[in-house]
Amino acid sequence: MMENIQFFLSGVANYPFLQNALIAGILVGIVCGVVGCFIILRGMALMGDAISHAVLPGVVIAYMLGMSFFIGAVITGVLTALGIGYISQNSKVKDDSAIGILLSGMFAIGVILITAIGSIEVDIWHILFGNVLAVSQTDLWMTFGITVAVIAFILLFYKQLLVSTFDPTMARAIGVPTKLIHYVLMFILSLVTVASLNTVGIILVVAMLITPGSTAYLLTDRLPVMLVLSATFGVVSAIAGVFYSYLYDVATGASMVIVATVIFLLAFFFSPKQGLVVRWFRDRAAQQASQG
Amino acid sequence: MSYSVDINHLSVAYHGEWALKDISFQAPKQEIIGIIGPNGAGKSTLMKAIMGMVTANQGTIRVFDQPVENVRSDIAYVPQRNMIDFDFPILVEDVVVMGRYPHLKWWQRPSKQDREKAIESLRQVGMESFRKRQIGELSGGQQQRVFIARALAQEADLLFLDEPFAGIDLTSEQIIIDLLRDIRDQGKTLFIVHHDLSKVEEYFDRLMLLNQRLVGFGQLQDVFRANLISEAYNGQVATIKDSDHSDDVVVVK
Repeated sequence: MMENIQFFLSGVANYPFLQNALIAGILVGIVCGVVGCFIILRGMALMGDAISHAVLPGVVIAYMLGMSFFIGAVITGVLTALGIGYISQNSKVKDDSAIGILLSGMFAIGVILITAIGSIEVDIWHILFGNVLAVSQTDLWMTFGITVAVIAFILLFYKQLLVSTFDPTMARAIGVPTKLIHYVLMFILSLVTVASLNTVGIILVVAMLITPGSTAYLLTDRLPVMLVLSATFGVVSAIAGVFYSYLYDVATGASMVIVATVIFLLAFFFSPKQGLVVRWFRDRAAQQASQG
Repeated sequence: MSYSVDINHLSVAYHGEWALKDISFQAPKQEIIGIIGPNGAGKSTLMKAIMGMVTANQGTIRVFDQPVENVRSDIAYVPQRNMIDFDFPILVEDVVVMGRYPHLKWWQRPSKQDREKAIESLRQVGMESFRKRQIGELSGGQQQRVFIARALAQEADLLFLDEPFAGIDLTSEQIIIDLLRDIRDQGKTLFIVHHDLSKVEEYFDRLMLLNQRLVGFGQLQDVFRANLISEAYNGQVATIKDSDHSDDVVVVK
């Protein structure tokens, strides 16, 4: 193990691409972890999946027009969020079905566009699953900018986010613009997906949003603690993911997601309050006590 | 005479269907007012309209002689318990601090005074010792008291409670109604959406019978009558004549 860590550290010291990958991973771990908490508490995990998939056609169109990925991704991401709201409000189609329809529809448009332009520069594999070796200095700055902006937003509007997530009716009664907050969160989801494009890719970004947050959710009763824990698990997953992918030469995004999943399972079985194993022991102890 | 809520010819439509039709009433201050009616009668819609959350198609609403937008922080809302996710990672104390939000600027954090106000409100409802518990660890009645404490922390003069007795044991119900009477005696006005006819006479100073239109509004003895209740509930009630007292006993089917 020590040998492997030394091998990894010397790699980090010598190869700029590995440094970039590590920094990008850490930033993605933080921003996804923090945003993910609100996504989980609002019951919008599926929505997160939809927005991240819907970013694909935007990225491809932006490439075709020679624009920044960023703009294309945000436009199709937010349009999809609006479309989902429109369908579920103006028909009897339920929210989750509306999400499913637009998620796959938008994704299909993206795939068609990629195959139609037949470019060798846009590798669909890289967009879908990330290509952490290709994280450029520019990408890194963009990811950094998005992370800082999103965290600043959450700190600044923490109160409004909290009340509109916990008790939307009260939020509206005291004049908090709950609809606007919903769409700002959708906008943020598109941003976070773009920020994660190179590191984990479109398909797996939802795991970085949902998994560390859910782990934190099992471990605490306070939202501020949940936010910090979630970001921490995101960062740990990112570092360990880059480590294993360098060591065994496997996909980075997937390694990060596997680490995050393992941490979740540990919390699921062993968390002091809700862990399955702990609960089993407690039930057994109670049973024995009652039997005398 | 100034009123707590003054509504003239209010009509609200949802998706092209009338939820409320031509409602007019003037509610005095410092009373506990029950809003009664069958499912779909527009009880929640009326409450939301007064809180400025639903736009009126016609009519005017004034709260304490002002448009709602001017008095938002003076109106508190106690949600129906099934609208709340009790697994939410939040402590009792932090729920009550939310009552201070309407008094803060959009960028301000709750101060130490706001926290103290929250704790004082918890003390008033007898829940101070639970302040560090997660909200889901409490019983239904205790949760309801926490949300009432939140309304107290807001220092609102008008309170809306949505089915506060739903799914709560009788002892807690008694604690809560005593608490609400205390709050009324401090000079506040309370509107309570209620679905159960059994405790109406005991709980409310004034009653509103609603079924999209206003079937009755006024003193209990004028409104809590078999013919009006039957009208509000579309005849879905049985009336039994009590021969000894010649009182009508009403049972909702």
